[in-house]
Amino acid sequence: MNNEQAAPEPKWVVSSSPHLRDPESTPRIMWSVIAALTPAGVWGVYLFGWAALYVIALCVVTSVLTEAIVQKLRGRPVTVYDGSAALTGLLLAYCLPSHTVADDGTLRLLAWYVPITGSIVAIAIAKQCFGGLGHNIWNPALIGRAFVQLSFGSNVSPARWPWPVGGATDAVTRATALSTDAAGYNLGDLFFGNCPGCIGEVSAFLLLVGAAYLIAKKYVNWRLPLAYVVTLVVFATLFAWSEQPERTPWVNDFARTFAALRGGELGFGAFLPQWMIFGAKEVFAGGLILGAFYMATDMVTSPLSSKGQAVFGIGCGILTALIRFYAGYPEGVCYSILLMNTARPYVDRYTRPRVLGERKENRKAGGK
Amino acid sequence: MTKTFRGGVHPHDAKNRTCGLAIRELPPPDEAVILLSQHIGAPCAATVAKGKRVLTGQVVGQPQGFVSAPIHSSVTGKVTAVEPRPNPVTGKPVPAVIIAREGEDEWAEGANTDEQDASGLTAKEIKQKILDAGIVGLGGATFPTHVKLSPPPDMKIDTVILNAAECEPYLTCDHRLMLEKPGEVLAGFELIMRALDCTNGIVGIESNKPDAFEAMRRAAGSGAIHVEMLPVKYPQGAEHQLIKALLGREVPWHGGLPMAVGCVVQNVATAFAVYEAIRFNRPLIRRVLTVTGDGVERPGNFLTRVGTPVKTLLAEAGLKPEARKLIFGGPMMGIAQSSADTPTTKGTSGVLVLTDAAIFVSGPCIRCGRCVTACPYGLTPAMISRAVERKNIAVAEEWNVMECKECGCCTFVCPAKRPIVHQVKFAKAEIAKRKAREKAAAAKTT
Repeated sequence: MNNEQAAPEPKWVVSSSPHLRDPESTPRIMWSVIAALTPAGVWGVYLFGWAALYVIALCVVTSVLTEAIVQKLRGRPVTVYDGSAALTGLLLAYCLPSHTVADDGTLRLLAWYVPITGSIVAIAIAKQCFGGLGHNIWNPALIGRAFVQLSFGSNVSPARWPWPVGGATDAVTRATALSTDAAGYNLGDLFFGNCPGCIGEVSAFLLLVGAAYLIAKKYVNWRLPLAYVVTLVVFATLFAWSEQPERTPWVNDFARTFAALRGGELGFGAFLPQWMIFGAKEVFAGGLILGAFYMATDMVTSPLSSKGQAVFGIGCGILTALIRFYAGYPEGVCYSILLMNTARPYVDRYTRPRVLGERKENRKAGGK
Repeated sequence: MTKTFRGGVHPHDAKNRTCGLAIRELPPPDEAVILLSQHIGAPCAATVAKGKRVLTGQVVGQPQGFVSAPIHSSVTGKVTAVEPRPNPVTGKPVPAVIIAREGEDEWAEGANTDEQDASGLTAKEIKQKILDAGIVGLGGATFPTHVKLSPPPDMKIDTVILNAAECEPYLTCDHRLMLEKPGEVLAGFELIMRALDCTNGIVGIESNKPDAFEAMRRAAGSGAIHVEMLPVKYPQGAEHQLIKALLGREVPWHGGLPMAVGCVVQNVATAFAVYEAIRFNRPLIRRVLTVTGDGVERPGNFLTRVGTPVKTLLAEAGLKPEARKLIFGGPMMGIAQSSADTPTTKGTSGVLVLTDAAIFVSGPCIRCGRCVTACPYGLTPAMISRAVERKNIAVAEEWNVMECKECGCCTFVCPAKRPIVHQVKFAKAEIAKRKAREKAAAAKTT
């Protein structure tokens, strides 16, 4: 083809710069988080049997259906393919137990209305009523969890938890690791998930494996969960010392211990392991790992800047410690995250990054 | 400690298409369309009318203010019209001088002389010659160079920076210029330093151009000019980021200029144009630009005349039938064009032809924070974007939308494919309209 016979000019597409995009997308992020959560869920099903799968399936299906129906009612495009509703359902299921213990001590499957109510409240009320994805103020899964806690309390947080191992459904029940009379769990049990609890919360190890993947992909900023966990351990130590001194004998004896350390009679080897075991139990028992790495780090309801996320994590840590030691209320992690979600707009406003060339004095005046 | 700046992104480089291709001078176009606004500042007034014969390098547009620069004819021929033509940057029509070429170059009197000795020139004389040659910033912003080199007497300039980063993907014109004419580029840079009465010069090059780095290092020798290598990150070539990386200084926000922190930044091609103007009395009528992208068969770095209709360049590079997007500049900040009749201007550093013209369906902002991490200016694009979406321009202003330089980092990384730069442009236009209304209202009451 010679130059005189130039091809007809194409109809050029005109759009704003930039004309390149990174391949990352919202569905990819959501489905990656679901993938990271899968090992913990598989463990829950192995431990608690088909009951766990039933709860997970009910939550996920109800969440997705609810979103599709509400979006249709709102006259909006249906976007359930992006995985955010499925993720909410999965997270809600992970906070629920697979069985409940009836008054006569027998084991029952979790009532069907619990996962369904929780999912509908999470999606229709906590998410869609506020405007859908990106507009909710509170973590929808946690709102669902709090709602079923208030509505069906004894069903979802029994004093004694079902403990079938490997799918065997003998009605053995045991107390949860967090209650004070549960000295029977060693650290290994708590870390790897050989203990009773909610479906997805028991295996700290598998949850951390998934979290490591999300941190590597930069979907989760490590500052938030680290701040959360460290703050919790510090404040738990403080509160345990004042509220439950029998759990922290080394703190009570701190003066003597410290004198012995200074005098060189006692190595750190005696003091540190006790404190670390205490701290580890606070961290690996209950819903903290799930909460710190997957719930608090939910992108929509956590701060935008790195600094803000660290502040958010510290706030969650203090509140969780307060609820655990002074309120004695189950699901302290859930409520502390919801409270910090409420404070999130303020955290965002006061932890915005410094603009290039902005003078530091400007920030002190609270300038925006 | 690696010298770099906060934020930034890593788009695919795509420079291997053209970084190995030597600069090729193209013949002057049959028709030159010389826009009378090719710089920041007041447009020029035409000094020629229809029917007039003009020579290469003859002034066809006179500046109308201090922040302005004259415009010269890039061909020898006859003026066929003086009429409005669309400006490739704003899309709005600006007056233009259309010249039909007649034969070979016949240079205007005093232009394109033999090599002159510049050692005796004073700073004032250097600046005057730069003004007369119509030199503007060739990195793309087209700020009149003689103005940049005239800071107020109380602003002492202690460092002059040569911007050799060329951070936009695809573009390699500065790279080739440094590789093929390092001595000339540095000679121009030295003239710029003399114009500013400054003895400290630094060249900042990204590490994806090691051959150019070596060439410049060798040419600079052990003189007053230091050549520094910087890590590859977009937008390292943005003024604020270059100053931050090389000197650790931050240009004050809310309209601050580099001179406020004692430095001036000039692009490699501008330095070369200064060399040509001072040594050979050549006004700015041609520049190197890169024609590239998967929409052309034979990409290259071409030395082209200002005012070449881009369809001439596309014919030279071989336009593919699958081409869908025509961009003046690079892919991050370049402007998409609606017609191949659009002429190149002094500021056109690249013509990018792409076959991928994907239109993205944007979703809701999920507050992932990637834009905040990416923004090299420390802004919070998510909040700006959310505010503009709700047409709340006041909130966008509170989140410092006026500081945005539209570099595109935020939009590049956004997983929801939100058109953040587009929203920023809209907000800025609304703010400008509001300010104009306020000004008019204030003028009425006084």
